[in-house]
Amino acid sequence: MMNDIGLFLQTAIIMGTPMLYATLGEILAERSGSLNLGVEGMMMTGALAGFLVGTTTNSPLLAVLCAGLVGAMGSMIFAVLTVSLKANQLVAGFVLTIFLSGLANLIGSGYGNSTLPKTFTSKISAIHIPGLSEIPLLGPAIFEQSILVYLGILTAVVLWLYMNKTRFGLSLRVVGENPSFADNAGIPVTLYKYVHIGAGGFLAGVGGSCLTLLIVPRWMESITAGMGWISIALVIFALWSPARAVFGAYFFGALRGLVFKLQSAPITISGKAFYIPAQILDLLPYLMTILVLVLITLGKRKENRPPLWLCRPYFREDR
Amino acid sequence: MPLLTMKDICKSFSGVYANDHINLSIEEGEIHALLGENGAGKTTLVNILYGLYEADSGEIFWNGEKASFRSPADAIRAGIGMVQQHFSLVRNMTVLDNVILNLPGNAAFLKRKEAGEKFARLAAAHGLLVDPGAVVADLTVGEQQRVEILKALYRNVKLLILDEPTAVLTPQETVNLFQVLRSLAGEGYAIIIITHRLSEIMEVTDRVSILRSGRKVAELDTASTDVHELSRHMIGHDIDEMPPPDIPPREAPMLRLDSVSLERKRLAQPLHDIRFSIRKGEILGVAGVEGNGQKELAEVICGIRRHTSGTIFLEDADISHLGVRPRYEAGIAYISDDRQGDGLVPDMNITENLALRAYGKPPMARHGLVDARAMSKVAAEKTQEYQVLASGRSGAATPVRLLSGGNQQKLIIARELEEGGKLIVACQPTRGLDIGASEFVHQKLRAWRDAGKSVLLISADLEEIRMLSDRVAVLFGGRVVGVLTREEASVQALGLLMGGVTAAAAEGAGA
Repeated sequence: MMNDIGLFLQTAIIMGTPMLYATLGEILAERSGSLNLGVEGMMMTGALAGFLVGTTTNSPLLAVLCAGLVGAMGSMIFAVLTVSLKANQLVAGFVLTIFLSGLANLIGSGYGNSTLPKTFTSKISAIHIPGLSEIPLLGPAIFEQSILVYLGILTAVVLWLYMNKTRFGLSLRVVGENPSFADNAGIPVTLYKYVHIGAGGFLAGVGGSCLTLLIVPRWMESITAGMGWISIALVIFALWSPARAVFGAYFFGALRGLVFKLQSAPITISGKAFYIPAQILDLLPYLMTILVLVLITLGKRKENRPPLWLCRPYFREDR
Repeated sequence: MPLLTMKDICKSFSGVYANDHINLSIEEGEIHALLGENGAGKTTLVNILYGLYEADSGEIFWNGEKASFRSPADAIRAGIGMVQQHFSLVRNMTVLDNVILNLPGNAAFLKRKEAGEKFARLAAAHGLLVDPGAVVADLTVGEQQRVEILKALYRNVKLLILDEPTAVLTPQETVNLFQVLRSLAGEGYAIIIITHRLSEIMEVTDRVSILRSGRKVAELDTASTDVHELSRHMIGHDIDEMPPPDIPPREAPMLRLDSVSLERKRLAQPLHDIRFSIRKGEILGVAGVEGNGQKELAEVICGIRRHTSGTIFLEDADISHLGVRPRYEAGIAYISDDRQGDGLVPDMNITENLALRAYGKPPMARHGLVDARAMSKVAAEKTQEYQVLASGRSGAATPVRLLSGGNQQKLIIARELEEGGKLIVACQPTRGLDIGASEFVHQKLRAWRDAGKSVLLISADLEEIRMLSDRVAVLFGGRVVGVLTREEASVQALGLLMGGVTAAAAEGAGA
């Protein structure tokens, strides 16, 4: 039983990792005032790019890096449309997801049967820390994970420091809160938006590559299966804080893990076996998100609200 | 050599000159006022200086050298600080974070402790006390202004621009601000202060530049001028003395409130047992310290809030149960005190805002459909009649948030003063307006009264109340504590009632 729970936690953290990257990225973009709904699409292209580079070069580093760069390139479409051309963010992001998902599926259609080289998987699979990973319950979850999982946590820590302790983070918050104040203070608003939308796209791409390199690990059509959308919801769940994003992503990872678990193993009540329909289980993350949204709206704390200027374009001479 | 010289500055917004060949020069240690009505071009001029707008032509010399400020960052680096009318402080960040935001000397990792100490020293040296750890949203307006000034000083500015700094301050805070400004000037800071309040100019400045319709019409030494000369330059003619009302009100009541109360839980200010009536052809002033039920009273009469007991009569018809639109159709119009909040839709254009009340009826609607051409025609007529000046761009298609306060107010009045109207509830109708625009509003209200209609004039400005009203009611704690005639309504009598001292209580205290 203990072992079961330990394995479950380990799975939860792995499953949560793609969403963690994507959520952290979207936090950056939203903090700069840009609600980029293209996350799902950027994850898809990242997943495919990571897989293709991984199979051809056999280098995890190159694979993940290229996945990130492809995600960042996708986000630049969004940046040009919304920041420079002042297009509606919701429409631009939505279109980006449709476009990039379609593109990834099209290009990837011939690679459904390819697999990663054995040597590649061994480089990226769980690092087994002797001794510590034997700790019951938490051992496997914390001390027997892939480097990609640890990198995700590290990214969250770095972003937390960046946003709360550095001058750039402070400026970023103001850009999202009120770009005209930022402008008055001499902060290059457009540059900040581009950089953080781009960083957001990079992380979404990396998140996508976790699926094809680590979790599945191969390419399949529509591999992200809504993880990008949940990541956007997770940003709200995390109240725009990288620290809370870690818990949010792993929690939703656990929900996903639970879906598999309950599908294969029925709940037994007084001798009768019940299968919970997968559709209902799939609803759980979304239900949780709605619940959290309601709770946030009820609460009156000032820091628990989105950046004030989220989703609004900024024209300097128009105020 | 002057610290700053601006030469032949021109800026137009699609053909309309906001600044037309303006020259300005400021010395160190000088407090220089930019005086002018709303829309005269004062803010445009300083925005050009601060790098927010780009001038169409003209030159700026800073310390004798030609300078071009392409963004506020350039201006700040050169040593120019600006405290804008609407503060540029992020409300849910701390004072200190707001101050150290994007400082050129900041290390990548912020040194908040060091910065806090420097801030405290600076604050103490200039008598601008604020807690650096406080969240801006929790500060009073006066404290926020101090933060803005400190923010500029922290950046070692030599020239400080203040845009309408006293508009939001209490009289006491204004006195403090002026002391600070004078001591800063004594230390060699140059200060530009934008205002349309004549008395403040006389009190605190050394020189005055007066702008009118984008042109500089005069530059005077404060010591050798007076308010009359200033106002003559500002509005182009002497202020008209208001004639006393010559048409006495008729006897018939227009509006009668019979024991109206608004008593609900969680109401900032309930109303208790309000009784008064307004006659036809009468302006009834409502005086009182703000927050004593003025807004609630206005909204109860207009039907925005439903009173909990009592009866409201309009020309003897009980309108207690009518909603906002039926009451408007019955003849009650409303000038809200919150222009941007509930008086206008800031992001909609002039035409649309003018149509907000009557879009559903001919001439603006035909067969139940809105007629865009008719709407434009109405808008063109009204903007002409009420002299609404859209500063360039696209005329009646200009979003109203881009208009000056005076023009916004004219729009509201143009919309509300309809032919069929009977009573207008005017809530702080001249707040934030300059002399010219206020005069315009007063004229319209008087004309309305002289046409045999009625006005409920709610105002925090006692002078305005006394100048216009036939009778004055005083609100205190959600009750009408007295109704005075024009003759009885001295400042002193009103002042006592506004402080909650009723005639009976005063006599009791005297005896």
